[in-house]
Amino acid sequence: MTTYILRRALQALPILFLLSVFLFGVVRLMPGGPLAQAERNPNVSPEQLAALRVRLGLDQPLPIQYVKWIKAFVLEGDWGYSIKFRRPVAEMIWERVPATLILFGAGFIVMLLFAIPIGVYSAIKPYSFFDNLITTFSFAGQSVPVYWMGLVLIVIFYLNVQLFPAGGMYTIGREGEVLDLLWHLVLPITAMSFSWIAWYSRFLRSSMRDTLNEDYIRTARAKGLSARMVHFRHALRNALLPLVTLIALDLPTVFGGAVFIEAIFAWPGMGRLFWDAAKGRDYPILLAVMMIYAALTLLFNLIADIVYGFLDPRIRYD
Amino acid sequence: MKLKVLTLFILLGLMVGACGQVPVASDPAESGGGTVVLVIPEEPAGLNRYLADAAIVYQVSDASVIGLTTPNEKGEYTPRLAAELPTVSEDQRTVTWKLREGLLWSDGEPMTSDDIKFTWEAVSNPNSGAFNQTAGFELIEDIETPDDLTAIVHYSEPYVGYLGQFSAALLPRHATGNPEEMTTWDYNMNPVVGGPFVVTDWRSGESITMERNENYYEEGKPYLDRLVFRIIPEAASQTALMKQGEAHVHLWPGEDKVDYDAIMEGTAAQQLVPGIWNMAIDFNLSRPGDDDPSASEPHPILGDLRVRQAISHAIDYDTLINDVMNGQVQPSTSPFAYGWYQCDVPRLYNFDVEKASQLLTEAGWVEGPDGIRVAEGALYAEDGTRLSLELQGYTAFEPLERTEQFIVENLKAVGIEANIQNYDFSIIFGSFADGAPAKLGDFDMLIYDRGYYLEPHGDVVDSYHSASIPSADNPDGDNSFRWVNPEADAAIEAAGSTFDQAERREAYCELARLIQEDAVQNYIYLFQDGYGFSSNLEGYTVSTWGSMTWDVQNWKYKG
Repeated sequence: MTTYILRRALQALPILFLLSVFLFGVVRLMPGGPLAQAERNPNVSPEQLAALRVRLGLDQPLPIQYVKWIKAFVLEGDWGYSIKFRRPVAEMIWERVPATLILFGAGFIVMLLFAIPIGVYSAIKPYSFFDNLITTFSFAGQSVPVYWMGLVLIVIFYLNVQLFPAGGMYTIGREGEVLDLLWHLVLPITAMSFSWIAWYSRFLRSSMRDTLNEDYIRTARAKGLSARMVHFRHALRNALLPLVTLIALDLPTVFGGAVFIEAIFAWPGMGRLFWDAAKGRDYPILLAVMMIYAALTLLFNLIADIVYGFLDPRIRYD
Repeated sequence: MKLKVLTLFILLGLMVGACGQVPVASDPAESGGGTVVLVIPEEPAGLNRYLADAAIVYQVSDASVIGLTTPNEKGEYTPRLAAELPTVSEDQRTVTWKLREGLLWSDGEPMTSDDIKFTWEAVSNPNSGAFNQTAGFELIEDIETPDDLTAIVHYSEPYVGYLGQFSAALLPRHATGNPEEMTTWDYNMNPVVGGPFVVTDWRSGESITMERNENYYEEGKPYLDRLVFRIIPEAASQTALMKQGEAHVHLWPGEDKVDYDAIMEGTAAQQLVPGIWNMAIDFNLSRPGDDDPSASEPHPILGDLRVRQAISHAIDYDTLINDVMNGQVQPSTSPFAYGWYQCDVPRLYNFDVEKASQLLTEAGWVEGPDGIRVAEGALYAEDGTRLSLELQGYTAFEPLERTEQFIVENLKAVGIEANIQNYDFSIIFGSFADGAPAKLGDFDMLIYDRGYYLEPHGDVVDSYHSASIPSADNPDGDNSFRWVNPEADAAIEAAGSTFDQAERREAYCELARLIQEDAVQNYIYLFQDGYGFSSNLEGYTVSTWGSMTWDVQNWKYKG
């Protein structure tokens, strides 16, 4: 097992290196730059602009800029300073992690609470009225764009019914209150989990249907076990296995944040940080977020494989 | 399991219920005080004006950070922390400032003339990283502070912008730090100020809260107790907050005024104020593509004044402004359409299709087989030449594209073919070495928005003086029309020879008249900035020269 993990980790290094070159290139190929607004400001002289470029190191050739960045990033663990805010990138990212974790954590729990019962029920009673209803909703859920959903929720529950706030994490002056936070979470989570529930419940339904056709299920039924016992002890446990991979692969997206949801509901998370950095061409933030995202994806892939080995004794890594 | 899920949701429902009604974020007091919520689309990088990388910094910092003077809505400098406008010596090289008596910084420390001196030291330090509104500081040789209220500024040469020298911000010596470390000062996000409000809370990605500055110099002001800037990136969410009355001021709404006011149904309304971006067509008077940037060879079509007049007559300005641009812009007829130098010159060649046709026929352009005119005895064009021109603008700016398409239709109606050719911003505004069409004189008609700030003179000389025609020897010149008019040169020189604003304005107006007469440039409209204001707010004035919060000390909230 240890050799397996080591081997996978070593394989990850060249991938990360290639990615770093690619991402650096792509980010710098975007038209415009961090000084776009200053360039059109009548109060900033061309001399000041040139001095600013030198100060930020933007005047040097790209390969040199890359080497400087990757050296600091890997060898010194220095993620640099934000061009716009002139604050350490690591500090700015760290500041945004809790908001995104809260949003995604709560969203994930709500999603599983709905998706598992729905998936199991429609697998046990396929093509029933309930199953057909859920199928219809699932297709709708997967097709509706999340930003549209968010705006519709704001119109209904903020403008018309006035039940929930339109955005933000706390009411001003009530920062840190749990009740206020939950109240602000309702709309973003509803908008976000709608498509998640659709997607995960469909996945679980087909996985559960496959399992129910297995020989050991027939054996269990033949032994005279109750339907409840067969479905939950024997079938569900096995049907959840593929779900583990899916969840593990989805977890790194938490780090990227939900760009649309966070923008519509003014949620101060990672997605907003990334989106603002992309708009302002804040290269150090963009690169740090993308590199961490890449590393986490590789890491969670490995974790999914390892967990799989524990859950399914038939799989062995040598 | 099902039961547990159900219980959880009932609990959740109870909690939500307990939260009750949407609270109104402001509690209006009888005194016109209370909290005002302002929605802004992005977060400012900080409030240090000398490091302002984007317009959003002004919109927030103006409520807190102020300087010795502020330009008012007419573009005239008025004293703020200064007791009065400064006196200037005979040779115009020495400027004497007096502070108001008894001024205190927001932390209670006295404000003195030494802070004026420190502002100069900090901003002019080459390692400070300051880059915005730093003009003129490099011309200061020394600042004397004979007493706590007086600062005598010595310039190496007369500086026409001296009234605005310290208008951006006065920096407190005791509450900043080493000028070399300006970019990392605590001051940048938590400044000690002389303005009406002080930052008390900054939540990255969420909000910036400011409380009333008890040490603000104007007795009884500001009227409001608290400002909350909420950072809301999505335009529709911003509008929803305004509609519900949860926010009171809206920076740059996504909707045009007519649509916005209809949505708000009286809760709020959009206030428009002229911006500085002025849409105009530049005509090329010289032959394009002849490797000669000078005007020695006239343009085969546009070299004839009558054709340029006809083009100006062909455009339906009212329809363009009111319908095509939805009333979001205002008419403009000259480069001096706003500010202290504003000249209201009437449009000389107004919309008149018959007149346009008549001029073109006179100039030797007769109707061709496909409706586009062809030359028959024209001044510079060979017989048989089609009246076909390129209309060049820049890409990715939708209002410009809309305007271009409308003008193309207008010109077609009088028999002129115009082909839209839009280039990337960097090409249209590129340098002589880059081969920018405007610099080389390789264009027919350029259409784009341009603007002056409070001190226009440098740009005026570059654009209109005959000595500013771009060439290899003079690559920085911007007289892309290749316009040579001795009267215009004289007017420009007259405007540059004095500090007296009335005299200078007179000279600029003369220039504006000549630009119209010679039809070298056709001004169309001026973009306006929009701010949404709640109907519960009063006392505000929108200004071309300030952000939405420039006069926040005068705002009152009437519940």
